[in-house]
Amino acid sequence: MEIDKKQNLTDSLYDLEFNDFNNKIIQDNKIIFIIDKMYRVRIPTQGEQESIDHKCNLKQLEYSNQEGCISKNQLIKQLKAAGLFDVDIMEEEKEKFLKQLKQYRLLLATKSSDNKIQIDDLKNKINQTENKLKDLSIEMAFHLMPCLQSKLEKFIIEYTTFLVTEKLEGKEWIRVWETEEDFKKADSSLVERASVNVTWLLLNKRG
Amino acid sequence: MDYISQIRCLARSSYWQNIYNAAQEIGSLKLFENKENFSGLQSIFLYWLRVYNLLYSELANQEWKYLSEEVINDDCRCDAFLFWREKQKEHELEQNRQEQKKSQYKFKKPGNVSLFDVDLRGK
Repeated sequence: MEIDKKQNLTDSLYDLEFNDFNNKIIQDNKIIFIIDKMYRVRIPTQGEQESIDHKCNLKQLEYSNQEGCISKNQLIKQLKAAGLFDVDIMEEEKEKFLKQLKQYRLLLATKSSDNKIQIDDLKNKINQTENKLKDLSIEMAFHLMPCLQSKLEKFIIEYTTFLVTEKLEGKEWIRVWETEEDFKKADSSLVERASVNVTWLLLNKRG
Repeated sequence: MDYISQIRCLARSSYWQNIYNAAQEIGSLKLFENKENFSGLQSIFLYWLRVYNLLYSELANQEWKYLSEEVINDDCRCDAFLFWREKQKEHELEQNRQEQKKSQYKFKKPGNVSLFDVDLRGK
């Protein structure tokens, strides 16, 4: 019973947050979210950014010295040679779907608002094509996960999450994890949610 | 969690459009609590704020027959319209380029005075 009440509360808070059209996601450079209690992620300070860059360089050296370290281009060639995954075929598929998307958009743009059936039909087709493009991106990312560049990108997000995630204690925001060890032992749902929000915060900031 | 549709909803709201218009005239008006180190979400928000501002202005001037309030409020239809609009602009630019090329090759009619019409015979 207690667990059900807690789940209901979490679900309700999630719904409120998801359907909340107030300004909080853009009013400053932080994102607040709720998992039982209130957390937030923020943009790293200059000092923290230097620490992230330094750690990233060290990690790159560490990965480079590990057995099985492989660059993105090398991995693409290896996967193609093994017949497991062909990036060129994937790019052709992607071009085909992009062309379809453009055609549907041109058709949709010239439809009058009275034509609800055709508008809904085209919107469905656009949605389906966009989902196919997303699936292709996810498949490509999955196959390229073992490469050095993907591992480094994952590390940067994780380390940034460790540094910038805070929880509200009374009226103060304090870091959730003091050490990297604490972070590695942390609850995965919190880490995942914080990582996703960090990715959104850093969107367009990382070349 | 997809924040983009929330951000677009905020950006096209009359509240934020009024704030944006006022901020262009009053330089000291701040859109955000932070004045530097903007997040990716803030950067996306600024982009859509400008896009919707332009669309509302074009709607008011009745510039495009396919642009309406309903199109602006529907993300999918809005994206379709923006793509179509881009193609239209490219087509117009291309037409202008072709016309300019043609006009460069038009010669003056005979009998027009030019700077180089100098009678050297002296008769």
